[in-house]
Amino acid sequence: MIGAGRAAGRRRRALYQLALAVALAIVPLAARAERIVGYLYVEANEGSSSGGHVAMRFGDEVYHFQHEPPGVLRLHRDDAADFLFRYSLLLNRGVRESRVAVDDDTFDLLRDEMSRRSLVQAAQFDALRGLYADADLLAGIERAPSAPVAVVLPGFGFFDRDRPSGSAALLALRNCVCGRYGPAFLSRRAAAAERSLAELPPPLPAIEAPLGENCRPARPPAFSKRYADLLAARQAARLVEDAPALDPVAVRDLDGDDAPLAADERAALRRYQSRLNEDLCVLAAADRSDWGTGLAMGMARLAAVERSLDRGRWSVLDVHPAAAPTAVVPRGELRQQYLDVLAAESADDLAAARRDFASADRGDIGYALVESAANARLEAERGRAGGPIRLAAESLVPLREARLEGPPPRWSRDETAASRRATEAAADALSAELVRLHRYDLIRRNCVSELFATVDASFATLPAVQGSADRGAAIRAESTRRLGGWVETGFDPNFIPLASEAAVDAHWRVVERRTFPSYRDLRIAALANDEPAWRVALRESNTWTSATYRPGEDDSTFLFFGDAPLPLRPLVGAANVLYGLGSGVVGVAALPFGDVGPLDRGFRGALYSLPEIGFVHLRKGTTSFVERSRVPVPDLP
Amino acid sequence: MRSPSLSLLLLAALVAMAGCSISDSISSPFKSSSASSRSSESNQTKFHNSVVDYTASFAAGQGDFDVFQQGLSDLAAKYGQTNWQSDPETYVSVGKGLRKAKVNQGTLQAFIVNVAKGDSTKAAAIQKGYND
Repeated sequence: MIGAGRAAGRRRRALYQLALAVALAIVPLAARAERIVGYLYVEANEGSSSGGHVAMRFGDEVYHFQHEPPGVLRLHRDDAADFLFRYSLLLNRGVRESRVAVDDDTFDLLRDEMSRRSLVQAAQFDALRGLYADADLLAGIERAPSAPVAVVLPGFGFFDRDRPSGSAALLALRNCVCGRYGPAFLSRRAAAAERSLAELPPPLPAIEAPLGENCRPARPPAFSKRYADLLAARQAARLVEDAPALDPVAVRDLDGDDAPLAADERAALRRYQSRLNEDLCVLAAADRSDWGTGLAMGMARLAAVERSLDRGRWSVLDVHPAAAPTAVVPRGELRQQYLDVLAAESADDLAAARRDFASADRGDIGYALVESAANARLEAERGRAGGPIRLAAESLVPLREARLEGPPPRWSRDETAASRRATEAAADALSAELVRLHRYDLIRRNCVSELFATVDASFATLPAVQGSADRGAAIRAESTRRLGGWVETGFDPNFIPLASEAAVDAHWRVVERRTFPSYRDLRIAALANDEPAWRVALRESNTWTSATYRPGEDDSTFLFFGDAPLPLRPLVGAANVLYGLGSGVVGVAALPFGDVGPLDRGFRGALYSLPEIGFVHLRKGTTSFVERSRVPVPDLP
Repeated sequence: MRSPSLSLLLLAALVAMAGCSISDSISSPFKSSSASSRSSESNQTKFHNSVVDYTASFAAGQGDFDVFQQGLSDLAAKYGQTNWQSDPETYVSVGKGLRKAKVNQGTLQAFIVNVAKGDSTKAAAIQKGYND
């Protein structure tokens, strides 16, 4: 019995020890809660950021600095999949990711600092844009003090204001507004906006004191914005009252191959119509300054929804602003392929957006996806018919503008001149301040150095660092504790994107490296499955015989791709230099006809081929279009 | 390509030619698979997360509430919304942003007064986002 009891005790102790060991193993893991921050190195290629580019990825967000006019660095946040699609596929640059293991706290600390910095910068440059817009508007008023003030307003270009629509939906909105707030409400609102327009005081912005890199300018809304908002309010109140017809050129019907409304789409449209009517009825009485623009856009959508329900097929607003950029469609045999792929993919996107709209009641957000996809689909068809393909703006609201006129301010000419001078001075001062704060410098402030500076800045917010006598040392210590090490950028090669990747690999806690291949690499690998590798390599080595090369619009002239075996690269580079120079010389013949393209492409080609003489793999070409079916969806944990 | 020093020098020369800019000349209507499969649900989540970040950034500094609301309108427009006030979750996201910025009660109340503007449902939504 005693022996059996001892054996049972030993088993219990062994179990406790095992449980303790498991617990000890689990606790640090739980406390660490590892997450991944990706350091992205984008390979060099010709064109912008030809020396390579870098970014940091936090889940589905990517942050990176871009060098922009007037010589400043701006921090941008992009969707990670879009970033990779643009760089690795359209720009044909492989992207390598060094995956750094961090804990939750560090992930949030770094990501939040990137987000905060990009938003503060955006506010600073928005303030500058507002001052410039004010100066323009004031100069116009100064030139013609008694003339009406013309302003271009987005969202107001959908209506034919001289033609009543008889739209039941717009009349229902008018009835809702008049019933809820009284029959004179709309005319009172329009009159109040008109009075406020005339009574706006001349802006006298102060010169911005030194801002600080992380400070939002504490400015009121720009004068031009307030004027536009008041004019939009006046006009929106009149729109509700008049219930005008949609301008026929501002609405687009989907017919032909696109299916009629299914029963669930019809039901979803009815629900959306009812919800939109109520939202707009509330918005008509909102005390937000920019209510008028939202109301105009919403009313146009309301009329388009009604048209869809009447027709039994989708009708959508033409969402493009007047100056929408257009796609550059390749010429020759690639043209048809480009248009066919675009038409097929845009049809798929529209079908997906329609399914999503029918299955989920998400109001404007779901409707906007159908509106956007339908416009893309119609633009693709327009391209097939030989027309230009307009590109949508980043915003998903319908932007079609109208030029409207407001009353001239009741200021003296001297007051207007003083206001204009003060605004120009404030704009110039803020511009100089922003250039000082965000100045681009090849070595000390570039896309690499600022990324690491932002990482350091995130550590600088920690109490332990702020309370330290030697902040630099404290930041380095935090970086070492949280990332595994600290990367120095200054007068060393780390300012070069490629060298910075090596520095991250050497100093940070990199647990995995992965590559997002370029479009060219993906296609060559796929072709090598179907035919001998040597034949693929030979055919794809040059731009004459390559089956995968679809030159992008800005590609310069070159003959051989730069991914030749290492010992051959100087030869390939020399051949490309000579080929580019030769093409440039031949291009001189086109100058008398006003065509500088061949000359420009030839000499640029020679210039960008020079690094290959030093073994750098640069010439990759870009890709004018990519079929989604031929590229994998990147896994972005 | 792993670093013969000549290559690094040439890359440095390339950086000098066109460092860190983006090819803004891309005018392509083609979209990534991710963009094409973007759903209203994911856009709604992204919009609300953007409101949290924006509010946190705004509340950490000084600013005019008209400017704050214009910023919300710009964010909403990016996702196709013409009227962010009709979405109660926007106000919850504003509250979450205020908590993220670790604002004091005074600042919280200032936001409630100036953004909810006397609407008790909206005020409660901001408070809820701040408390959760």
